[in-house]
Amino acid sequence: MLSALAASLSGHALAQQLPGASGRIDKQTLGAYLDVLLPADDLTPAASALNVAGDLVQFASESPPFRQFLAVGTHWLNQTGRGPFHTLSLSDQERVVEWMSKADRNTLPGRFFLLVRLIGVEFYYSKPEVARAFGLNPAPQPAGYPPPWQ
Amino acid sequence: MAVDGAYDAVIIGAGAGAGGAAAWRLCSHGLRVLIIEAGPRFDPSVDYPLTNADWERRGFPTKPNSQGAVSYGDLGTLDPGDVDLAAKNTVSGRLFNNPKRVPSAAGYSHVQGVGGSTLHYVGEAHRLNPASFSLASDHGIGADWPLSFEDLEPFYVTCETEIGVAGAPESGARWPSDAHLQPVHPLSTSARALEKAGRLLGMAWEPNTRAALSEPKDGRPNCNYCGNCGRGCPLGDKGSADVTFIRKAEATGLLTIWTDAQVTRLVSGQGVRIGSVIGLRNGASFEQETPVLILAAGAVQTPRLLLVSDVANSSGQVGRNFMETLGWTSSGLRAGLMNSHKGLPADAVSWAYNNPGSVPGLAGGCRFTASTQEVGLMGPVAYASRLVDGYGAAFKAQMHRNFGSAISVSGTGETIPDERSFVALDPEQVDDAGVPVAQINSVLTDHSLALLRFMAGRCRALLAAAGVEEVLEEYGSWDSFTATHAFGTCRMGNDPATSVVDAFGRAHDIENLYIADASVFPSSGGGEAPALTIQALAVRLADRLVA
Repeated sequence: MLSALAASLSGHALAQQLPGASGRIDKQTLGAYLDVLLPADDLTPAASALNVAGDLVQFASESPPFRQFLAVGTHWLNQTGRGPFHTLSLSDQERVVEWMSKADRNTLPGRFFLLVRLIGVEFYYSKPEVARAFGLNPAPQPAGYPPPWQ
Repeated sequence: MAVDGAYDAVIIGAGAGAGGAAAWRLCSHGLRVLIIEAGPRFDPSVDYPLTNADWERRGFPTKPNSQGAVSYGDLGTLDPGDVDLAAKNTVSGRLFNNPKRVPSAAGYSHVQGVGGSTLHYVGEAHRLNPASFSLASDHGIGADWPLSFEDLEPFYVTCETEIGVAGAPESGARWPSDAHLQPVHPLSTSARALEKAGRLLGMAWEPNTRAALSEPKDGRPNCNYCGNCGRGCPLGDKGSADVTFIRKAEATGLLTIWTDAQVTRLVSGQGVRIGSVIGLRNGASFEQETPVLILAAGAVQTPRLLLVSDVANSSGQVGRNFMETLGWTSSGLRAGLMNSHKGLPADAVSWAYNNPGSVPGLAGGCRFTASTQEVGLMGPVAYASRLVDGYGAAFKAQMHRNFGSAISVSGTGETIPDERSFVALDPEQVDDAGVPVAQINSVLTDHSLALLRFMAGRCRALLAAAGVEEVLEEYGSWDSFTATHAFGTCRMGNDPATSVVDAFGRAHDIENLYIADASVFPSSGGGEAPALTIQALAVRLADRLVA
């Protein structure tokens, strides 16, 4: 699935350079952004505690369009306040993400919200620490799910 | 180039039909068989990812040569008036935004390898509706089969017994006896909810007949209900051809399998016979003599090979009559339902509209399946990606509250042959061996659109009756092409002018050429999974050869 998502960006205008963007993914901003999407709760840790940002950066290293997209997106995030996104207060970060969640998905903010959310939850909810919180074994085998089921 | 003539029969393709069932039957009769398989072998204990923590991120594995080359031609243009049939989910919105129908990520969904697409199938073991054998005679549409259900029924019994099929079907025309079936599998929580919903709507449901063991058999364990048949079964309880027919055939010592060996052309011999096949194996060319040749490469690659070789096509029907899988799925969450990710995929089925003519105004039938596990709603990744929208603390709370409450129901329906739907040689694209790839053209007819809309309506009604307040994901054949089953491109029939093979699968034009895959189906049936019928036809063909 991830490769299909990344491929959807190939040649897409949203994966092209923004004026002033360096082509470098701001990992601190990406991590802070993912923590707004996936904060800690009573059962599971925040995305940053599971290095989901690192997973995305690693994945992006195999997909130049996605790497560029993350670079452009984190650069855009860093332009939304008086300092880099990761230095903003949590409430300011949440306001930005709330606006992005409602943005047209054919624009950079809307597209960034959708794709980073999709790929972020895929890495996050694949972690054994998270699976345990759902009462699941780390993997369906070898135990399976012997009946009965209620 | 060596010429080897050490075999009684050569089979191209190690899938469900000839490669599995016919090879087993021929070897059981003492014949020496060579299978030439373009794909690799899969090792269930190594290749299937179901013990890995990231299992949900991975589908059935791909290996070198495990996918045949295909391209897509005309798949149809969308009428915006049918947008109620668009694929969408609550997270991503519309999944396809094109004026034309496009291949989905799965597209022609198949596995090339020892076991073929049975490696990734969920293992439904269906007998074709007896009334589907005479669709043209009874309803004036499509084509008749040149054999009856009664001709095939003994071979269904043979295959069910060899594979190990579990189920407790309602008695009826297609079940004169079920004494050879294993005990029925328990129903998942979502299947039980659909069964109750069906009662409210007057749609009877029953346990599906499944090629998954409920009791150990032939050294294979019973299923432990991990729900991931489509990712490959690491236990071997699923009745894929590699662990059933092919394993038994290899145990005779009479079966040889060449893997990663692509046949590129059939070579005519003396008279109206195929003398040999040529191809590439591990980078080297080969030529293999064949007293009898059985083609079993599926409804896309089989016609491709015949067209490339320019044989068996005096009727002009090779590649024509392509029938795709007409499908629809609706999914939602039902408050209070738990553990719907546990159980056997496609564990319950409704045949209420399977009889030809039973859908109002339409000739073709359909069936409905409890599909929660089959469509992958088995882990939190699927929920977060498809059914539970939002972000932040509220989203995570919804995830914890709703996991295990998904219900999916799917309809699969009859496709009627149409002149716009066919497999041809791509005029431009060739594979690594320089052979033109198979180009799939498949357009939805008015019949298909009407049946699709009927199936969507029934699926939505079933979810509502099950207590689902909002449909959160839907997809089907309207805006994307997905064919897990493909049929019809080398139709069987009695008339050589309108069909490619006879009732036993022998080419009308070639004395020693047989076809044993779904390309011979004159009609698709009303949504039945075709593997068991392919296998029954293959065993019948093998018995004919031996006789």
